[in-house]
Amino acid sequence: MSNCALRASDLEVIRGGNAVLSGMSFEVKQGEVFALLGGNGAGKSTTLLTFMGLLQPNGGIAEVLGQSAAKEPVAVRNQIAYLPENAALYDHLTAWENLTYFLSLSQVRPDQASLSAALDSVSLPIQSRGKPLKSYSKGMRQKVAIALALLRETPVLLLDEPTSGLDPSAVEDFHNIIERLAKQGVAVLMVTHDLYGACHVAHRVGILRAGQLVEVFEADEDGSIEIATVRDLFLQQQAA
Amino acid sequence: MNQSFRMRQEFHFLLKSKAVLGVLLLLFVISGVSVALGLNYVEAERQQITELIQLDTEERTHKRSLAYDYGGAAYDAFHAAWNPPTPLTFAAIGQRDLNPTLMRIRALAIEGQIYETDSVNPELALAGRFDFAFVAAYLLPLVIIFVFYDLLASEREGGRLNLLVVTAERASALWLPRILLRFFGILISILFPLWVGMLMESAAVGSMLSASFAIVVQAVIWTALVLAIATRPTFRSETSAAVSVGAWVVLTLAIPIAGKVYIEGSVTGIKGAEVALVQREAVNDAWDLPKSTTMDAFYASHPEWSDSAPINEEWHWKWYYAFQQVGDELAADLAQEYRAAMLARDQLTARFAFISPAVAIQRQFEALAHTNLDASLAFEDQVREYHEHIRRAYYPVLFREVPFSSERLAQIEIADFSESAGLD
Repeated sequence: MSNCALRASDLEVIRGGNAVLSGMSFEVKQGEVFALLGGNGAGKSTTLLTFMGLLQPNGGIAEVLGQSAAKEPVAVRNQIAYLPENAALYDHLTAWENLTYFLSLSQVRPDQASLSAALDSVSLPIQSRGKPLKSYSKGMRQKVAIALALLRETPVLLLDEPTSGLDPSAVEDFHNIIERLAKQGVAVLMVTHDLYGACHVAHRVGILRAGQLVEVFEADEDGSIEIATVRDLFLQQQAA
Repeated sequence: MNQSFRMRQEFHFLLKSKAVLGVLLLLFVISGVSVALGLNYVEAERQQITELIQLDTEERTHKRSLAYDYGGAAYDAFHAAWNPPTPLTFAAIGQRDLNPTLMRIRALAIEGQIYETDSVNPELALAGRFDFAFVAAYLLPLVIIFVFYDLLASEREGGRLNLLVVTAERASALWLPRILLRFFGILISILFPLWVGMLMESAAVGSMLSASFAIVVQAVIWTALVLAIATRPTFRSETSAAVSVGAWVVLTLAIPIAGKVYIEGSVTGIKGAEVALVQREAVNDAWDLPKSTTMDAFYASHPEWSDSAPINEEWHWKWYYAFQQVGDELAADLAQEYRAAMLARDQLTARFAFISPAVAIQRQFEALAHTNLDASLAFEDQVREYHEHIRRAYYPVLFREVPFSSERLAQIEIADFSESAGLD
């Protein structure tokens, strides 16, 4: 049995007459963290939306655990936890209320202990948890959204600029969480501008340009990716 | 995982949505005020009826004690006739404040008495009296628009839509509880005051169910319409609001106004005042006509009195009452024409109810409350029957020229209107 969790095969998406993704192919295995690096308009978010079945590809296929995202979007979404770029939760609800409400949508009824554990793991201050999110900083909101993604306990995690707005300490905590999840077998697809974070946490890093995957770097035996090499190619592609 | 947890979460979410809660509270208050005003109106009507019956009786007794002939006694004797409010009148006052519902009838020509106050024609009811039916027809759709117009757009504009869709087990788990709770919130806000009013009025269970069903249908129509607009993926919240309000303007204002213009143009009829005018002119003209002309016309329709003694005097009460009756008969065709025109307009209005929910629900409530044209015409018929009963009670003493005595006058029994009309 294949351990491929995510598979893009010759994926093509056209939006507004422009090819946003053109012939993109890659796989993410269970327990693997794959980071897609790219500039604005490279097609990073479109890739995630296609895997979630929110965009229909014009060609190729996007599969999650062997199921086509285009043909079986509901089944596919039940396997995915998603962390959007600007973690937009409900401002008038507290962290507890947001988590409970969103989890109720996926028919998950969390107990207080698991909610606390999730919020502890993202280091959200205890005194803030009962306050409405409108009093939160961007980073604190992001932590709540990360906690939500963790609580879903899905085999696939899609992350859109996950460390945006987080302070360095929280970024470190987040990377630890991702590594832990990967060890538990969760497949993680992360799109980001954060070259250093991507190289630090990902098993493989792909460079995306104009909807095409131009290069993929793999971690060496000690699990690290040469940042300088990735950076040079990334900047080269940006300049091109 | 049971659905009740999901519903509880959505209920909690609703309780935290201050804008939605605020507008539901506003609807509750407006509905309550309309019910309270309606109950006050009905109570005032009932009090008026009670007072009128009592004062009429006192006045008739007093006038009879002063009478010295039967004609004069009949002339001075007013009899109350009323169209009592039903247990649902408070919710749909309809045409009660426009058409006569409380009258004082005497043995003179009836058409003038009915049409002394011209009634409006039953064209489409535009924004008129502030009653519960008005709230249901005009304000309920606005509340539904406010509650649902940005259902999708607010999530998209708030950046939550993708997260919600991906997190939800399926789309129905996301939207259905939210729509249902808000929908039932709207229903309870508008219906609870109505139920209280109906219980206070001891309305029948069937009426309560019918009235509630009419509101549910109105709410379903508008919710479906607003959701059809609000779930357009390309509509921003302001676009959705503008299109929804536009639909409200068309369906609750433009169509009824256009309908009114169309109906007035298609059914050009006489006015009630013209009926009264024809009858009055006939009565006035009779003074200058030979008495035999009037009496022959009267005896043609009342042959049972044709053997009454000829009139040789300058003045006689039986001649006076005969020309009152002949005046009515001369105006009868016109009265029928007027009635036919009103019914024709009403039928055309019914057609407009198919394309305007506002017209439909107002008509539905007026029908349930018996405040519609049918009820108004039925009351007119009861008044005409009562009038006939009154004049025929006096005819024997007038046309047989029975010598006057207070004892004989006291024997002329005239039923109470409630008895004549079969009221409780």
